[in-house]
Amino acid sequence: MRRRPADLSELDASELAAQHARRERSVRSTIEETLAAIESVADSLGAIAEVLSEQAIRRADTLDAALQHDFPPGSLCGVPVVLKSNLCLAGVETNCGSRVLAGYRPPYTATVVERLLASGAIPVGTAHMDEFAMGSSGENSAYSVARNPWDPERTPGGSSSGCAAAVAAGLVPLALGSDTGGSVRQPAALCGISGFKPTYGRLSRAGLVAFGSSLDQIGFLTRSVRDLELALRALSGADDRDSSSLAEPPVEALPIFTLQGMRIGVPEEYFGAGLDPRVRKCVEDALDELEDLGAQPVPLALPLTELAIACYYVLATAEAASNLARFDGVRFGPRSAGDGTLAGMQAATRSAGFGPEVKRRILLGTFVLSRGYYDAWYARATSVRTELAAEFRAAFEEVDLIAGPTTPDLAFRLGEKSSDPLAMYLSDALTVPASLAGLPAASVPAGFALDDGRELPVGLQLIGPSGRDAEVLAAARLYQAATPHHLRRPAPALA
Amino acid sequence: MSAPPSTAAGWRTVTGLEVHCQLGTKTKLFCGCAAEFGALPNTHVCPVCSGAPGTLPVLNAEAVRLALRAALALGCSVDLTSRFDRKHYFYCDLPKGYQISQYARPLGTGGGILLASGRFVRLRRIHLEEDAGKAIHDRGPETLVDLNRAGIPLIEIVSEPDLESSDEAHEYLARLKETLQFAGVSECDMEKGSLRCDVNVSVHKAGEPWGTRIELKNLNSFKNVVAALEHEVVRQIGERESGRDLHQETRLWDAERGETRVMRSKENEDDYRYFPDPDLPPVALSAEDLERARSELPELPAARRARWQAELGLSSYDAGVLSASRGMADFFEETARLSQAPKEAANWLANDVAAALTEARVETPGELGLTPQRMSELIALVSEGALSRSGAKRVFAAMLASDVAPERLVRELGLAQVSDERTIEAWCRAALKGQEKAAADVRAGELKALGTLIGRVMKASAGRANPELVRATLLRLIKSPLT
Amino acid sequence: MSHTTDLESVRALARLARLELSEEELLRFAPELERILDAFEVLARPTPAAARASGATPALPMPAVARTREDVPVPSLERDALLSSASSSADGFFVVPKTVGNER
Repeated sequence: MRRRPADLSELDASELAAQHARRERSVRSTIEETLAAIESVADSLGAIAEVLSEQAIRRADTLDAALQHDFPPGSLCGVPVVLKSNLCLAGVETNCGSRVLAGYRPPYTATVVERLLASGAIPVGTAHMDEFAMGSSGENSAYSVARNPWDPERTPGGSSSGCAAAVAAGLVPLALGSDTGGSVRQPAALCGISGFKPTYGRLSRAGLVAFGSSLDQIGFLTRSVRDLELALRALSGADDRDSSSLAEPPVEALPIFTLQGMRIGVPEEYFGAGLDPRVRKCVEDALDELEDLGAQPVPLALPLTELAIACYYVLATAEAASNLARFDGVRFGPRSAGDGTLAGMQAATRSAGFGPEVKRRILLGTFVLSRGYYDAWYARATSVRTELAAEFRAAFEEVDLIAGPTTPDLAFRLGEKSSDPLAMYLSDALTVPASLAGLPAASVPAGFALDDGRELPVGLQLIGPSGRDAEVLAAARLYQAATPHHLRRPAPALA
Repeated sequence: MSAPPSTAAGWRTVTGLEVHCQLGTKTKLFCGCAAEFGALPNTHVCPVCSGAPGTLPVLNAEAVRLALRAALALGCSVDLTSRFDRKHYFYCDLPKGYQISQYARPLGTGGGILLASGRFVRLRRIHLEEDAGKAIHDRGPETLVDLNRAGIPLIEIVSEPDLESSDEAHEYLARLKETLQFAGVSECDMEKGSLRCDVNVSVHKAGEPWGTRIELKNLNSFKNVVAALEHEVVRQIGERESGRDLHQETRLWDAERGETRVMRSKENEDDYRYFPDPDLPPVALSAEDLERARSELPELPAARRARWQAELGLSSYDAGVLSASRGMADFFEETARLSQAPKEAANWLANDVAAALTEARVETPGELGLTPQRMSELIALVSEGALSRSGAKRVFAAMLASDVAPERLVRELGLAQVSDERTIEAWCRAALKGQEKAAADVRAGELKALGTLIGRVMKASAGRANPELVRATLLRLIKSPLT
Repeated sequence: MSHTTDLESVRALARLARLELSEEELLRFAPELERILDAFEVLARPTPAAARASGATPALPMPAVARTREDVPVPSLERDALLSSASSSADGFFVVPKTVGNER
């Protein structure tokens, strides 16, 4: 049955996988249409780094043949997927948006990507990102700055910029990104799509190039919450290659769930002076909607929130400075000769290979770990982190979920914040707390606001207690079922 | 406690040793690459130990068990939740740009080693860490890097600066090595790189505060440790006596030239920026783990020596030789048990076997093809009188060359000792014929003459006559000539 | 809490981090780092809960149970695959410029 390309962009992954499994649609045709759609916006969207046409077609044919022989279809059967450029897929360039890894092809595949392939999904491309996942706008990519499909002059958010742009533009229904301080949730919010960062340890980090090891989690960007649940079921579960992964089985979705009587904490700190009033309006409407569904909003105070950004950046930059020490030109990546000595070569390679934001964060991270400053900075941040986590635990004695805006602003214009690193950091204020405490958090489309004549998406964030990934997603799904926001698509003006 | 030896009038030396010992595991500390010595370069390397982006460390359970055993064998207090820290520095043989080690919460603290003099050398700490790879500088205009060793499991054992001479340093190392070997923790072979030692030494005049501490590296044998230490002490005293200040630095020992050279100044000491490794949970140990490790500890050399001397009456020299290696000690104990003749067993092993080991350059009797069973058979033959001592030596030599039972060798070599009284008497009478002068000398108390007569009997019997019986019979015949 | 972000300190940080910064970069980064660290001084504020960290172990949201593997060898990477990522290799080794006098 021939379908017009536009139809493909209407389907979420769950429906598409079902259609493939029922053989109403061939995987090959899906992949061909997807590749064509990617090609059509190649110059304008800036989202896809490398298109994996050959291997995608090959996988599609193999899958179609298997389906013809009645092989049981995987849960993500034939779903085209985009991978952020910091997820290792053997033989595919994984440069993390950085020159220091230009041309680097890993000899192994990330555990989550292996599971993705096993579920029948088909990677069709790698996505542009802020260098080493450091950034909130995509502008720190050494290669290409992705654009927001709702307004190409604006950022799609970051650091999973290309991922969010690709899903929002209807190219693919599922993208795998990474979220350290909000890098999946914030782009999802700014692009009007659904995004999820699981409980820390829920998804294996083996094969995710590390930025902030105690904060990093792979996350999903999709058109629907049920796709988030589907992906989580397919990809979660303990992994022997990651000592920080939770020793628990994959997370099952909760089909039977009700918001009736659910206490939803609304922290006053998330609705402070820095919140754009248009964002506030959308989120307050969303809270009303939740109330209509039976939930009970409960005012909450989380006073440590104001320390979260500082705490996050001290810890994340320290871990980043450490994790990036391996990039020295000796074993992989391009090399600059420098003064011809070993140390000179290493310094020249790193300096030529890292962009300014990465250098800034390495300097910061080195500072907070350095002799004489460790106690006041790194140790203190660790201590504050413990307290923050305890504050959340205490809050979850009173409420079942916490809700608020995902970002303080609407999508900003490219170039607007790029000269002010601190301003850029502050835009993470609402997402970093859940990262620090390792809590599961989702962002779902909660409406639109007008800025300069453009309708721009707003995201609602739902945060749950540690380990309650299924509950967070179930609540998000119920909210989404009662609202139309996720169904709106940006005008296809990008071609 | 004996007075510390003074190297030059009034000067004292203070020394501490940092020993790195490779654990006897089959694989590396954080990945499954084989921990094999002497392999072709870069053939035991994987994405994890080469620091490829996205890789994570996973801890080797056996390494923890062995490290725990080492800590217990050395009498340390064990931290039940020690943890890993990252130690940062840049070098071509350090793939991640940091070494995973233990800084703030090491596996063990305290404990120590007792020297023969009675001085107790305290340990400061013992911790787990991964080894770096190898950088080769002397093969051409560039440096070559081999990562086979990167990630090999090590324990670092740091002593307090309790050592006061090079002899003590040598003894400390020997005791440390034998303890770790006995505990089955490590081979401790400096030639294979499974044991490395750095030395920290300073000098001061008696009664004055301690001097500047200088670190010595590149000491690849016990002999070199001693030589380097002695040289450095002389050098430091020389500097101080000439009125020059000493600066904290690291010096390399050049064995060929017999001198130490500055490697790098430690004035701007490396800032390693230690922080807890976020990829690894704490090394959580339970009381059961400790008990199990304790039960796996064999009796350690010092305790064995003490027991052998007390219960078996061995000399301290013999006890020392017999406890030189676990293989030797276990072999001795088994031989003693099977033969029920510990003193004999000790005699054979501490002398004949030890000599054979040295000659063949191996460490354990098993490597010579000997077994406790065979040795105990040999001992039995001698004590039964079926074999003379000199015959036994010949049988022993044959045992080294072949795997034949001693009894059979005795027959093959025709060494069966004759203890039959009538045969012996016949030989003695024959030997005494025409030896009236010698007999008279013996009666007069000259034992040398007796020896000569015994010799004649032994020659006539081709060495097979039981020498004790010969002696007794000759004396009897000489003392009562009329029979 | 204090911090020094004068040029010399930033140069020292760059050295520690094996980065070669141009004068222009130094002049740009120093004030930026200053502003950022000033803002982060908020961490020094005394916090109400004053939760005591257990010993020296920081609270990382990671399982407290030790995860270990058994001591069983696993095939390593093919040497060619390992060395093919490197800029310079020869005779089975990675090749790098000479270190100057054992300096690290």
